[in-house]
Amino acid sequence: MKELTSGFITILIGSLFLIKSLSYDLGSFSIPGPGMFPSLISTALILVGFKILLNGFLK
Amino acid sequence: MDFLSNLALGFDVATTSYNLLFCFIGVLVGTLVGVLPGVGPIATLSVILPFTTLVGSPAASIIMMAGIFYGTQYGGSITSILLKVPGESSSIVTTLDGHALARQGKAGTALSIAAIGSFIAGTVATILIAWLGEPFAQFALKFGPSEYATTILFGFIASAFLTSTDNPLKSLAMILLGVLLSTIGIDLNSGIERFTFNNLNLYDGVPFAILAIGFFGLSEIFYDILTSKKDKPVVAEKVNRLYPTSEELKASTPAIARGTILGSILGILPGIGVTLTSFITYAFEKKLSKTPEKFGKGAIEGVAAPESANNAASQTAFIPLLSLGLPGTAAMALMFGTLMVNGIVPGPQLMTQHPGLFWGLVVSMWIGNFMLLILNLPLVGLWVQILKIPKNILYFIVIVFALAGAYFIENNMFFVLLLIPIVLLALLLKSLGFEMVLLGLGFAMGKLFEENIIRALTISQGDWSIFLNSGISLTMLVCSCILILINKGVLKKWKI
Repeated sequence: MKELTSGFITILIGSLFLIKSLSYDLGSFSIPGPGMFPSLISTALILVGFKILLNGFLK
Repeated sequence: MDFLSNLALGFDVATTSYNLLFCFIGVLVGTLVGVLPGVGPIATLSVILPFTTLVGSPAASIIMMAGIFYGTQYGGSITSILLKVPGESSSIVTTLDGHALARQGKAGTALSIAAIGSFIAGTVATILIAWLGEPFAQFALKFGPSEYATTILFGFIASAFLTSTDNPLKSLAMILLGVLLSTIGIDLNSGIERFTFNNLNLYDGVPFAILAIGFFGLSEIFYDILTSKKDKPVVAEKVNRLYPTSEELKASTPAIARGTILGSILGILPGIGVTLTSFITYAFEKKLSKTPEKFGKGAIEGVAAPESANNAASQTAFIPLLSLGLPGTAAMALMFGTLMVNGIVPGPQLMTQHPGLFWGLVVSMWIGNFMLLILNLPLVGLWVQILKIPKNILYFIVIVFALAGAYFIENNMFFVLLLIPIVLLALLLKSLGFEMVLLGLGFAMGKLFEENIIRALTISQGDWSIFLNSGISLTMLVCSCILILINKGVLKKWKI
């Protein structure tokens, strides 16, 4: 249960940051905008959250 | 300037009465924190961080903060040996043999070996910093944005996978959250505000000290208040003979030497930290011993090696911080924060732009270690008495200091109120088993990480292969992959 909650909270935090990041200009990889970096990091956080959640399910 | 004139400059700076005073305050507070369970060095450093600007001298500030950090390693051993209460997580392993020795009436021997070992290790580590600082800084000058970005990435992965062996994913999540929190405020590249919700107070971002007070200081204390059971009465073993016999010294000398070497090496590596260092050293010493069965029942080597190692590691951890500007652990991230709030940017230029501060700090560590040796052994009885202070009083003092510090940073009530959601979030995450200290590392390195990734991508016009083109960044990426694979147990399956 603890792992499931941890995964859910991680995904929630990551999603909140991702939604807000996407509201800023992403730019392109050659000229990254202000939203590019936080979008990448929050996506990574969501993925980590999913993995925690998955581990919780498999336990 | 050569090595000797650098050291002479260091002595000049470190032995001014002002710096000596702050070195003494640092090691005294450090020992106190090490002795008292519940209040760790990270919590203490985060609460004291905002007050360092009051000191008026960046050199004195960092000398004091460093003194607190390595002082805790000394203090922690006292209660581990006499009471089987590790005041500090890096001293947990010392309880095994230290307390067993104390029960055999050899508390004095264990204490003096721990102090002597720590002093020798501290001295060797100080020499190492002085010796390796400059070559490291020269090496760091070869770093471009891609090298910095991949080195920081390696630091993150090493911290996530080495600090927490049971759930590195949660550690990684905390680092990523720290990086995300560092993006709050105006983006320096575009001038656009991010995640501020049009609140002017957040335009400069969340101050590192506020984050540290909330996530490491107050949350630790509230968590302890909410979860800890009633204090057990303090029963200390008696200290009969304080100085070791020649046989005991002979038995512990090789262990001290091995602990010093291993601790010095592990301290430089990112993510390992002093606690893991002391455990690794203990396991290593037990494996090497001809009488491993004595470990846990009062082997003097079981005290000498980890105590030397944790002290050496607490000092060599400064090497990547001072020469590369990259803190490898949460405690070093707080040192990084201390330098930043005092207007000093850690990195390869530190040695050329502020040679007095660098060499003064190096020499002060040796002086601090000497002070600790004098402070600890004759005053053992006093430190044990301090444990009788009720936790409630102690926590009250720390909370008042933390709130005053939070207000003092910007003279702004907003940041004191910001502590409420920070502490609540920290308590929730902590109760779910997340590693709070890693969030600080992510936060401290976040801006630098972003800046270097963006710069590297701009230079390469969006070509990600820039991270594979240089030897340093490629090595860092390969090391990161190896760490992940080791953690996954893949290498074990391949029988590598």
